Amino acid sequence: MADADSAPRKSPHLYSIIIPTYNECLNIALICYLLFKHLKDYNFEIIIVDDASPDGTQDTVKKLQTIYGEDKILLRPRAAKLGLGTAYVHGLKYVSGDFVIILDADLSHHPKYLPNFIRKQLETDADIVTGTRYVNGGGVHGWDLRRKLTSRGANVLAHTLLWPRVSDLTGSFRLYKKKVLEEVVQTCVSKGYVFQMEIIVRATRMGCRIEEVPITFVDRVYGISKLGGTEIVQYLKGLFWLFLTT
Amino acid sequence: MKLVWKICSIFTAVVVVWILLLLAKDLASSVHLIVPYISMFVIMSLGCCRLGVLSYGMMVFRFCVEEEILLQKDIEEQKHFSRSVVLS
Repeated sequence: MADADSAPRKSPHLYSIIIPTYNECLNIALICYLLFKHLKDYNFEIIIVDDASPDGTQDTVKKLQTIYGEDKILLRPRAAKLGLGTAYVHGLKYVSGDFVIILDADLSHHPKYLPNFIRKQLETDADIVTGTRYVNGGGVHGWDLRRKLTSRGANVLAHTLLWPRVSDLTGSFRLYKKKVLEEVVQTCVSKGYVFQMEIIVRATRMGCRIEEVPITFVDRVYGISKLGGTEIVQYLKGLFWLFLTT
Repeated sequence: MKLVWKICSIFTAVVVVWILLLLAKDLASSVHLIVPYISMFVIMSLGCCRLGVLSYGMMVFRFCVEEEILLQKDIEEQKHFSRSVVLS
């Protein structure tokens, strides 16, 4: 890993990767390994925001810090489960890079797409580069028909009401310019899945340039999915609230 | 201008045109028969259009079976790496 630091870089920028975690002790080691594997030609840091996971995620992260270095993996825990939006705001306080990458710790977002994100941003000077499952080259694995229908249906409904300029509103695999994320996240008040939509919709309304990269979303390898009936109801409420306020 | 106001403006304009057509007296009788049902046709068309988009999206939504195989390879690679780090 030390050799990677002296190799020539494909980008002069520092990329800060924020990973919110809750009960991800089985996934976090793998995601860190894959980040170091696929981003060896880039300057980056990983900021792990853990919400007091009871399964020992923080202990696993501390072990990873001894392997990869405390300058590369920053553990910034919180005292309780406080939600995704506030996890991003908390992680942003410790970002020292020019760009912020948000991805999930459950390996549904594979780090192998990150060089494509970075390349797209450098080519287009986009404010936000978002991964999309719904264009040519994208897709999913591990979803049954019901889940696929729910996801597609949710996206079609969101498109009908919000008229965004992106194909995948509910995804959370994105690269932001740091200033853009700081500005947009201040205006967001939603929670859960709606938060991801709110960020991209508000960024669209603010005139941000948004580009897309096809990704494959793989259903989580370990752990329990956090999508349930309550989340669907919250999504619908949040969608109509966004329709009325953006 | 907020999107909801744009949509309300378009909706209001369409409703005004529809009401004017309903109140018009010099239209052909065949047109007069259709005008009261235009609103239903529009709503049904919109619904069918969205269902069509959803159906098309479901048809082209790719299943990426190969991704699971690649991910399992990554998992094995990482396990091997972890073992080598522990041993060293």
